[in-house]
Amino acid sequence: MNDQQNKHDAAEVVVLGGGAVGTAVAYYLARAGRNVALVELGEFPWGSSKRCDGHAVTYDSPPGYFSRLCKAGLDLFPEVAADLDVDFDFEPEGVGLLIDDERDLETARASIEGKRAEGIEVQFWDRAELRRREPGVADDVLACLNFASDAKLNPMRLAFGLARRAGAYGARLMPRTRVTGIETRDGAVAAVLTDRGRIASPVVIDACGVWAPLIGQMVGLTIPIRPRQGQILVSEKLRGLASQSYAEYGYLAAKGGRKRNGVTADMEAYGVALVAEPTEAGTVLFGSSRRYVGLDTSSHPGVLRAMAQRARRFFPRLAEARIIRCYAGLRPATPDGKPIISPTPVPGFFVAAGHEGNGIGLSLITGKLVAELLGGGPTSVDLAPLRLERFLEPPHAA
Amino acid sequence: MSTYYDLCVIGAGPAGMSAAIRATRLGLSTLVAERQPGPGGQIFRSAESASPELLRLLGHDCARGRKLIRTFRACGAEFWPEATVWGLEPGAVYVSRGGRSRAVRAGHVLIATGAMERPVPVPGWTLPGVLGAGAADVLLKSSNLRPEGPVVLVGNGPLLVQSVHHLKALGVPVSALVTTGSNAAALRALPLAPAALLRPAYFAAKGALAARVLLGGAPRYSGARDIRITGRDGDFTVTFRTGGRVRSVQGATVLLHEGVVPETRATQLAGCRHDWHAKQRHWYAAADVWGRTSVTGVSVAGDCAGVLGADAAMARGRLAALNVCREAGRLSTARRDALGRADRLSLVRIRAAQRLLDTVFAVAPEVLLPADEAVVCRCEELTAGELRTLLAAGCASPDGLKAQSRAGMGPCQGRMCGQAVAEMIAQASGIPLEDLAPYRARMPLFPLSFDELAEMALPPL
Repeated sequence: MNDQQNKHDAAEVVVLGGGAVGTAVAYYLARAGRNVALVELGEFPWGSSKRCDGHAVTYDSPPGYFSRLCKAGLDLFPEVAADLDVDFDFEPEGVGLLIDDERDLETARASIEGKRAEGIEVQFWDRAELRRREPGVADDVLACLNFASDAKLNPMRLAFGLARRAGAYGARLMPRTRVTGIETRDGAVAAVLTDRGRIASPVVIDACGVWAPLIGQMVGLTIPIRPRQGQILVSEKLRGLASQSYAEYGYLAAKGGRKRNGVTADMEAYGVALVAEPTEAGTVLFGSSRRYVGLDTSSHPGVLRAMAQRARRFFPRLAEARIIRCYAGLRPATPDGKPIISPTPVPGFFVAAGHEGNGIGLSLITGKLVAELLGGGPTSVDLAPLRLERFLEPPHAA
Repeated sequence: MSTYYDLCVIGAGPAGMSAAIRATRLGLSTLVAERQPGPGGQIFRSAESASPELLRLLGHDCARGRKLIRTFRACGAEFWPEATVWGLEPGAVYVSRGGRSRAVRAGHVLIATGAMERPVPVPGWTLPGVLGAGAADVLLKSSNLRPEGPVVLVGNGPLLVQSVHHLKALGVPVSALVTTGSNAAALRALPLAPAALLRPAYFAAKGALAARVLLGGAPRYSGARDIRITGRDGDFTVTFRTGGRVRSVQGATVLLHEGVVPETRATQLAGCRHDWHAKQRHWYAAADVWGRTSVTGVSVAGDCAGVLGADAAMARGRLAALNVCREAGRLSTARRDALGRADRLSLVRIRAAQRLLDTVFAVAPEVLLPADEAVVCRCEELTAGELRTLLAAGCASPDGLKAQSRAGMGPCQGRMCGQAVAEMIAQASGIPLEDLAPYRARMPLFPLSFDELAEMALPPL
């Protein structure tokens, strides 16, 4: 029996997952001329990429490998924006980290050089400068570390546009398709089984984010990704509240175990930290929270309250502004907070998932790296730190 | 800081009031939260304070509304008027009242949010002076405001017929009645006619209404399609196609009505299963005869569980309360069944009659498909044409289109555009509408300020 008899039932590569990462992988593969099928349970996008904010940033990592990866990812957006026929509102207008604790001033200043050495544009605004640029920020905020090239974009339109363009390059788009199994032959990937038929293929890319482990199970792999829920508040249209996005510097410090000023027990318990993103439409998105609550994407009033308190602390003018909608999404979190972009012990099965809060910003670089990886040549970024093996039991001696 | 009630009822219409009366009588501590300043719901709106003229006009409806409201006020249930429920989760309801929000813990939640006029976008429907016939009815009941005549009425459904009657009684001239229904629909309903005999009083009253409309002398057109409204407040032209001819009529005010649909955002937010009504083309909260939904601890009563009108709403409210009492250990199953027997029987009769109405006033699917130039999403000012461009680009679900277009992301959360969007997607994609999940309902169901959320009283962690 010949798998290639009907070309519609076969592909060189099947990408599973139509979020920002999966559509970017399909886009780069199709652009490189590969015969690729993109399978998604819902539409493009459907999972976390439809329930997130739209930041593509370098601010949230210390100088080093991951920071450079984020920078490489950010640098790809202008070229792809020009190639897509969907405008995804890419705006590299900067993201500022608001500093409200004297103890953070020195560490913040000290981090600048390392980031600048990576080509990242960082500015330190003292209190007067911050007041001048952003009168809506609370008076007692001491300074701002501004990552001037960090960007915002519309992630829903990004993934939609990537899928469309992948289709134009020849990718077969399969929305509303459920993966029911993966067929192997002699231990290697042979086909993807779906509720719309079998697709023979020697290569499968698991780009299913928080659902990636379910796909991994189909070939006996344990992929250590857990859903880490984040909630978002959407304000009414508020032109003039803030001229760009902001986050709180203290949260980076809090990751190191230090308690932030003015943080309630609720905020600690729910992992609440300010993120504010004025959208192109005029509404402002306010995050963030971090909780492990399974696949629950409902809103939780207690978490929302803590987030509103945090938002108001940095933007007092919000007091009377109205919240018109809330939603929640699931970050695909790995044990070390870095994605998995990797081959696996199952020949032909690759993972491109686990980007936690950086999936939008890292979507394009992930797509590019997977295309390079499948091309067999050297990759433009060393992928060793992102291999799945880092989480696997050491192999038994032969 | 939180408050506990055995039963929290959302909505003080006929269903919510009837449930509260029965529940308190059987010993449940009951809270009723209502968005409006007083109890009554849409049908008994302002019945307590109606002027003698209005009383004469509304007659029987108003009188029985006053009686129900009186009993409700005296029943011992805690009543919160002007209270907006914006969030729901198992065992708790989040209520905004007087600019402050709080969590109310409840052993059981009964959602009785009623129905709303079906928004049907046509070109010109957003012009000032064009409003829903039901909205005009509310203005009349609550503020004694009557529309400027002559009035053009456009659409379908029993309430439209009632509006003509009200306008005539108030001396407001009607220049035309333009219905989207057809005489054929009435013929299709004939086999169901014996069901009407089970509830003769109701049909005698409605039949007399319809007859008066026909005798009224205002021109009446049926089977209207491609309806467009142009002009401005006080001077509108309504054009439409019927029987292969394009016609136009003039009026100072245009009242639109294409039936009512269940108000399901609260039941959607609660995660209840919903069923699809094929003839009336809407979703309603699925429930058994006792109002039990697919979610433990959440019941429904009244039109949000399927449009059956006020008599049914009262019966369903009482039945739901009986079952909540049984679940709370106040009634045995046998006692519940015995106390509910009469209401269950009357519901069987009402449902049979409703099948007749649903057929006579069946909504024509093509009437619900907006013309390209019609504004569909009023919050984001998106036209049907703009949305169809995105549908052609690959969106095939309400939430998918919302993500790409922002339709449904505004302050009304898709209340106005959700149904038209679903109809357009079904038409463009060939996916049956009942297979398309509606917009996902999200907190807050009604906007609230950052201050109010930040200062909400909650029990400590």
